[in-house]
Amino acid sequence: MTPDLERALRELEIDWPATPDLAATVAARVADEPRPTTRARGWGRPRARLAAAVAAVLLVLAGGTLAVPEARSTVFRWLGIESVEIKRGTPRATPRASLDLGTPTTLAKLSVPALQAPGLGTPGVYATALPDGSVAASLVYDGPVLVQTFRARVEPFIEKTIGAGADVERLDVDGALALWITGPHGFAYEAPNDSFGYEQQRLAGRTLLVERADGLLLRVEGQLSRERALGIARSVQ
Amino acid sequence: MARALTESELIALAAEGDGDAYASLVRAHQDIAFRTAMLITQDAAEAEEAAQDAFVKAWRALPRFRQGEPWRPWLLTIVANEARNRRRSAGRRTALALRVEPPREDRSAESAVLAAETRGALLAALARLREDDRLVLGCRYLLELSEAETAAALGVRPGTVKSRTSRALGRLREEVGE
Repeated sequence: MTPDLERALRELEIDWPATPDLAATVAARVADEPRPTTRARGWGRPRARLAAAVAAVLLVLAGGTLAVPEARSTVFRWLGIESVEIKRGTPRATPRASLDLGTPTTLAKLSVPALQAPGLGTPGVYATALPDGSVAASLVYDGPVLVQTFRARVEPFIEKTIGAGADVERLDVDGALALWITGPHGFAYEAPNDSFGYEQQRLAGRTLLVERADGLLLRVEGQLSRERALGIARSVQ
Repeated sequence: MARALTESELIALAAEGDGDAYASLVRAHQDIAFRTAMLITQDAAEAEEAAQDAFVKAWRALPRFRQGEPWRPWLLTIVANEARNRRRSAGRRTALALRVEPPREDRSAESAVLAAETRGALLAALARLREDDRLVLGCRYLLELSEAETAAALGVRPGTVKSRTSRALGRLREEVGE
């Protein structure tokens, strides 16, 4: 080690050229920019609730941009989720990185509970940071099938938040309420810390959500039939 | 009671399209962004363009930024990329200079000159190092970036920053000793 040399380097007083006023020039440039993934807003608008900000959503559908229906907007505002744009695009079916699931990890290293589907092989494991600050255990099996676990409730507002192009059916998985969603969708959820988040569809427009008695929300998503999704949900442990 | 917004709150608001929040973020990081670009390009005009374009690109990419992670390494990755792209396309370079210290009563004019000469020699030796050595030492000691931030700016793994820093210090020591 060379502590003296390191100290001498740290103590060099560099005469950096004066920093230009980038804040002003950048502000002028981005003011003219369309926002690619969130609703365009002017400068100087009042602060929205933080929950609104973290829940800005891109929901993948199929080509163009849809307006959020008024009834749905009202629910989002009530939940504190004000900015939701539904953007049509090509559905993504490639697992792993393009799903934006966060940090790859292992089951042993996960700090949150993870429900596994034993019949589906060995999953890719990810710790996914959710907008409300909590972490979801995301397991991606061949198919691809996403089996995700996090602490949340979705039932009270599911119909109002899934989106106009989606349907929801109420089912039962071993005594727990299950919601079978078909069609391009997203869903709002309430986290245990009383904050609300919004999850976009990640893999496919076919998702089974199970509100388990232990407080965990199980999400099974993929190009699945209802029966197959229910089978996976009943098999998890 | 009113309070200043935290950086994560500013990022969340900016990601939603709030330009005021983003201007605050730029203001907080413009020094480090400009100086990182300056270290790489060694040209103030190019550094300004690189930092400015980087902030605009970061704005466009904000919806992809993962909330809760530190923003500075993410930003510096974009800044350094912009700076490297410019460096490849230009020729004129200005070496970094030392700030002139005001006279101090507790030190004689002679010792001040000696100290300035020593510091000048060290900076000149740093400038003579090969590019990757100069950049890793510049990031770690002149900009005082963390290892993670240096890794982000140089596009290498944190472990590489550690080994490259140690190697570069060895070469600098040889350079100064000559």
